[in-house]
Amino acid sequence: MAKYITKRILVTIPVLLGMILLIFFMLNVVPGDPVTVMMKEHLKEDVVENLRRSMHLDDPFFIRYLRYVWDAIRGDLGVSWKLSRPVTGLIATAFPYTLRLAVCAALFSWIMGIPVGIISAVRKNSLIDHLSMGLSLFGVSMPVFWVALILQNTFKGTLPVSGVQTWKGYILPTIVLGWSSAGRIARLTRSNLLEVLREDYIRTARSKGLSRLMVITRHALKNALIPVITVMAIQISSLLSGAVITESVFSIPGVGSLAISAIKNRDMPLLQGTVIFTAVLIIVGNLVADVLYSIIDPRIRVE
Amino acid sequence: MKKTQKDLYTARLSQQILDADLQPDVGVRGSIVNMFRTNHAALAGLIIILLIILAAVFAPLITRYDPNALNLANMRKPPSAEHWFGTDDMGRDVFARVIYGGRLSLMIGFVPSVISLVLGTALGLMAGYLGKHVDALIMRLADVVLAFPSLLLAMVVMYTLGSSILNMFIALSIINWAGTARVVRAQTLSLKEKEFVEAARSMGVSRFKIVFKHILPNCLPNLIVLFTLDIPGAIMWESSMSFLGVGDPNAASWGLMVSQGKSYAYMCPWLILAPGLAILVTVMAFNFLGDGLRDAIDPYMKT
Amino acid sequence: MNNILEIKNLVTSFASDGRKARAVAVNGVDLAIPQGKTVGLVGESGCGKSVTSLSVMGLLAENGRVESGEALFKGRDLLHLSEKELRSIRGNDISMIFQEPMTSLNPVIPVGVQVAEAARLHEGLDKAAAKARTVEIMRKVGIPEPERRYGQYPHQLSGGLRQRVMIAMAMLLKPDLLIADEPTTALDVSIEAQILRLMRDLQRESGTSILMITHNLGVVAEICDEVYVMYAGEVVERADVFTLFRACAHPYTRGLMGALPRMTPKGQRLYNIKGTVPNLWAMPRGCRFAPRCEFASERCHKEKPPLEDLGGGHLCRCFAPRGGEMDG
Repeated sequence: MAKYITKRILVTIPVLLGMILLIFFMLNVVPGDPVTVMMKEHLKEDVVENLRRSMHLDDPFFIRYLRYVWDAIRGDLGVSWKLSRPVTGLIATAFPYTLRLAVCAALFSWIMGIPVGIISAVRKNSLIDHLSMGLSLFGVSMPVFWVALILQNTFKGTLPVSGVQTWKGYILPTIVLGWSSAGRIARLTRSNLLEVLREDYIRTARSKGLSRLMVITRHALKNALIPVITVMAIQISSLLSGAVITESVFSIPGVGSLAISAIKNRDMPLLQGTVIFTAVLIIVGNLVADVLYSIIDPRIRVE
Repeated sequence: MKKTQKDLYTARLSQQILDADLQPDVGVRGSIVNMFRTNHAALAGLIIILLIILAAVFAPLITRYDPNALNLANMRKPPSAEHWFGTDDMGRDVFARVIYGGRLSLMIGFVPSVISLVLGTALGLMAGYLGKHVDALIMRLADVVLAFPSLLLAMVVMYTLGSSILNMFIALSIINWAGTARVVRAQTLSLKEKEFVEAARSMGVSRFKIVFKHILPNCLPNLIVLFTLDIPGAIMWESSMSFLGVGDPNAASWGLMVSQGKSYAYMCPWLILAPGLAILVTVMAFNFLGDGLRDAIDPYMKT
Repeated sequence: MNNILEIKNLVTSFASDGRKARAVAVNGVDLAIPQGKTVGLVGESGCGKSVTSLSVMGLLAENGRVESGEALFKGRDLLHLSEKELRSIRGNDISMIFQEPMTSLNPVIPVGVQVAEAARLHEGLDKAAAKARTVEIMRKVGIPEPERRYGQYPHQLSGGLRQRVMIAMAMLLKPDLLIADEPTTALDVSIEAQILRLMRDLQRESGTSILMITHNLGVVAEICDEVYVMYAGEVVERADVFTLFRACAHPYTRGLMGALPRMTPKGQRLYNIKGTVPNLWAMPRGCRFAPRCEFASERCHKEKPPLEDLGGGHLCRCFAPRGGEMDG
């Protein structure tokens, strides 16, 4: 078990480094560094040269990359060009908002998705099954920003539609962000449960005299829900990037809003920091989901 | 943004191909025809897609308005017999803009999907057939791309290359090739060991010919599904980015129309309803079709 | 003689995708299981033997339906009981063992808990009492270290042990009737012999009647008192085990026997009968075995033979039953 986790973590490291390399490469081939971008008009050429040298901007690309990784490990992601504040600090202020939103949306999607999936499977091909499966495909196909706008305009005056000064401010963003996840979880729960209900051991359980409800709760659900856990991993990723749009529409000062403002202000260190931070979260989330999976499923657990 | 249908599909599919040693399916064409007969959602999807394509191609025959003609005397008029979807803040006919915008949105759906299909297939074939270092390199790169939230990665590409429609194609191609490559690689690996490929190899058939005559045709059914699911994904990403202001500000896609209408959304809901519905219907049609094709082609995914 | 279960004229059908007509998988089966005896139900896969038992237990798949007939168990017709009444019988008065112990056990629940479940359900035992009882029956069916095995998962057990778990599960409440559906098919021959011996011992001790569903005549010879042979949804022959092995009369049964080298209870897979089982939608008009029968006459193709008594309860569905000793 410990061996498995160690191995899994070791596999993650090259992906992490590769990911930082990719982002660092893309953002650092852009012509223009802070000195030239911000001060060109105000300073003489040789002063610019000196400044650049003192900031190590003339170093070879790979050296700069390694320095960035080393700094990042120590929690230093550079300084925002626009806001002149450490990127790490900006992210630390913004992240709680994003986290709260993502957690609420995840809870919403489970609370909605799992029961709907179970009911759809148990009442397969009934009206409620067709209805909820149609709705979930609808959810997957809806543009998040569009739903956000519609809800915002529908509930204007009833619920807060901008900012998160009170907990009520989270209601609409949670629904917007959680909806498509809920649809996906419902579909997956349904198909897994239907698959499990065809298994031989379900017949065994029935042959012992268990009622339909007991067969489902005791014998089918655990098997059906184990794979749903893997979706949680994908969900972390989709919630975090979905948060970019949701935060933007509902004016929530989270990491997504930081990324958008970084793009608009052409603030490279801030964009680099937020993107890498988000990607790391996703990789760690995948790791946690994998480990969780191996803990919950006895077939993997005992090796 | 949420993960698209395709992301879920590629992850599961590539695993299943490796696990289950997928047999080349001989009855694919028949099962697709049969699918349209029984799966009404997929058939409806196909019909809607054809209608949208026709509308985009024959836009001038459908509406007599010029989508870009300003008419400041006729600003933000609600839908009427004259202007079916009303007019926008510059007096332009919204219906005409949605129809003409469809040209752009369809192009945005197709072009990057074709690029990522070709790129993903080529890299997947190389990784699977050549193996060793090539395989390791391509697959680690795919891992890195897949670890990213697609929206953020595409936004970084747009930041680096600048906001233009061409760069949008590049950005969308970059985020989509990895899933395709993974599936093609998995299938190549399993086909490589099959008797008919071994036989061809023993008879001295060239590598190139084996790949194109024996392996690629067997990947086709899955590629069709992936392609069908790539298109709505690309449309969705583009509209999200245009909405966030990261797209080409001059390309009047549906996403940009929603974005431009959002300030007036409360007073003039038609400004966001019309283009948003266009996205929803198009994406849903492709998802229905893709789901249907997937069920017809892939016996493992049936629910 | 007292019968624990009497199935009369059972008809079961299945719906199939894209077809209007339902396929009749069991067509008028009569079968009786005497108290304390073991009755074999033999036939190729797809002949309806498993469907017969599942019909009786009310465990048919969603698309299956009992059309008519009765199944008298201690005077009650199982086919017309409510689901609730049936549940109180399942696992309590009648229990089942299935073919594939790996897939028939829930992979994510410890085996002991799965065995104990019936005791908690039907006798309302608390956790500790149910566990004590489970450990006892696990020891009795020959599972070493039952306390340790109790908490293990199916994939940690060997095939033989898993089938012993299934037997423990079935015998826990000393049922009146045990339906064993190919209980040894998935096991190798030496384990098969052990399992059959175990079932016989348990039967002697508890007086349980057994319906042994199998396609293996070796198993029949080993454990059964009476045998029903099924073909294409119908009983084609019934006899006590000695009569059957000495002088079976139906050409199909003789075909099965002929395929069994030396008639040793070793459990070889058989059948050198030519052709295949008829399609459920294209049943022959006359005798269902006629297309594969080397003795078939014109009459056999046109008319359906009745199940006739050849004397002493030896039933055979054939116009020209074969007589005399088999030559091995």
